[in-house]
Amino acid sequence: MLRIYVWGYLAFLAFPILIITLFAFHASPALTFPFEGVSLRWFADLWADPNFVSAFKNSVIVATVASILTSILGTMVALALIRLSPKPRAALSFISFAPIALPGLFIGASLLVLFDRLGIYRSLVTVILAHTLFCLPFFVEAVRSRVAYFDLDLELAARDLGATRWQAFRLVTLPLLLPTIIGGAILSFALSFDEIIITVFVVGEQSTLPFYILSLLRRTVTPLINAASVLAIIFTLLVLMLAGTVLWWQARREKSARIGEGVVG
Amino acid sequence: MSTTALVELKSLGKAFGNFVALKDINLDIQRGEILTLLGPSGCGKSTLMRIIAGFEQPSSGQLLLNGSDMVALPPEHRPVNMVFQRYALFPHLDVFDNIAFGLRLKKMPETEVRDRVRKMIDLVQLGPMADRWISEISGGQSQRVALARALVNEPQVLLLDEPLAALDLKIRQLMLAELRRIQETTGTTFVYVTHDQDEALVLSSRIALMDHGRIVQLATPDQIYFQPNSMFAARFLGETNVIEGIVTSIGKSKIHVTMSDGVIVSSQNATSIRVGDTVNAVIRPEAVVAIADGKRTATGPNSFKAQLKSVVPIGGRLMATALLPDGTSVRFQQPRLDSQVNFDSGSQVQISWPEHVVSVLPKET
Repeated sequence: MLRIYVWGYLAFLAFPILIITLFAFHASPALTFPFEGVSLRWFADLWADPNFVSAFKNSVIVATVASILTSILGTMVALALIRLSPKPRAALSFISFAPIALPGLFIGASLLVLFDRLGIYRSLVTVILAHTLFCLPFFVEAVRSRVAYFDLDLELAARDLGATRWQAFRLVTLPLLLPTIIGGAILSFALSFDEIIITVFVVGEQSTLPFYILSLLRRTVTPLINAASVLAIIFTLLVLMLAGTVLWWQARREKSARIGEGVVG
Repeated sequence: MSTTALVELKSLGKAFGNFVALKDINLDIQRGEILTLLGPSGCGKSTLMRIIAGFEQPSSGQLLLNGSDMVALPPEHRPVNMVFQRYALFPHLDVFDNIAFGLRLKKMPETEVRDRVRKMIDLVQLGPMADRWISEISGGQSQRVALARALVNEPQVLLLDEPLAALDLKIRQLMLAELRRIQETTGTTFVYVTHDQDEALVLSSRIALMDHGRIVQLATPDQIYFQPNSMFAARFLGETNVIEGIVTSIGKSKIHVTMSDGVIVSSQNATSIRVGDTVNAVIRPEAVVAIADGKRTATGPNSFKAQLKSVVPIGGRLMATALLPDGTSVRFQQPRLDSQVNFDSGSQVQISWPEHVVSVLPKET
């Protein structure tokens, strides 16, 4: 019974992805069965569309920069959380978590007003800033649990053994937090890559991938949407796999360095 | 070698807001000794240690090392290393790299680093563990790594913050012996923080007994055990009998304390007591001798008839409580060779103790 439920649940989750993927390779523009043969024509069409190529490129740029910015800011928040005593820590956690509960519409609209007031033109820069704002609470939430049991004595021990503040951070705190930070960065990348609601408000002339897909939808229902979505999915999966490989490789390198015993400090 | 103390604390104080953590601490730490800071939690011993390590700044007073002021030095520049209570070993490094951490920061050539780490690993008997991750070793082994990681830097002072608190009893006893051996081998000055009187008594050259941010008594373990200078000291270290009385005379070498059932005589030095004061005479249970009544009659001071209230044999020892006629209870302890000596509850005994074991202390401190 449980087994059936689990399979049903997985099917429910994966079904839309399967359908979209299936029709992305459909030879005919019809989004209905029966299936009339396999083709890559929609992908070719997409690739021929300069709007798609630039939107895709923009999304990669935005997601990359936004996740890096988020990681830096978020790590600083995490370091503060490590040092705070329980009460202010709970307060800061709550405040940084609060934007998650705000509707994206609200954030988008207020950013639109803010940028307008400050005289900042809407461009990829405003999108990056908005996405950083959007991702930060998720990042902090993702690293919070790891930070909660970080032993501050580790930093003191490093200082005691001759490390300056900076060395203690670089040699002890950062390596220990790095897997968590990378995890948060990947999450931020994925969130930014398909963010649409806030983007609608702050985007300039340069479009992002979700925005491009949305604008396709506004004209007609075209199979191009399927192809673009499939590409987005594949790209996200690739990023996740890459990150996983990096982490795995890093663990392996540490292990072999340990066996070789030749680590130079 | 100069004759001054290695570390000198001069009227050192520390306050956190309104809370006074340390008050007027004066303490000289001698080269090569094991000085224990002993006291209940919250007495300021850990704060004092963190000030020596450089993690906290004193609010007032001086901290000297080899005669020169150390207060302005950040922890990384102090020739002092610490063994943390929960070890604080770096989980992303293996045993070897943990121990090598301090040497590599000093940019020591790698061959020399390996040499010194190897020697240290041998000293703390961790030979086969060098390649293990920190998560792969036991508590006792972690303790050894923490010791090695600190000692490899050849600190002038090694600070140990309750280093055995996280270990179970058997390993704790083993590690106590190990600490002694390592201290004797290296000759390093140890400052040892603990709330455990047994650890302090076994390990220390001297004990600084602390309470409420002050050093209550600074003395050798024997002095502090047999001649406590306050009720706090008497009660904190081991079990004691407390008998209330009034000082009737203070002679050259003897103090007489009169209580309702007789006179107690002490040959210890009088400290801040005067004739007429209500005082406590303090006697350790193991200093009390009991014999079955009738074999000898009670004569003279420090000898009393008493009635046994309870007798508890604990293997080779006998723990018993006797009541003096006025109802004061006296606990005593003696070795039990076999069941020949049969003290029964309710029977009459005669208890006595020598003069030199009696400490006469002001009643309230």
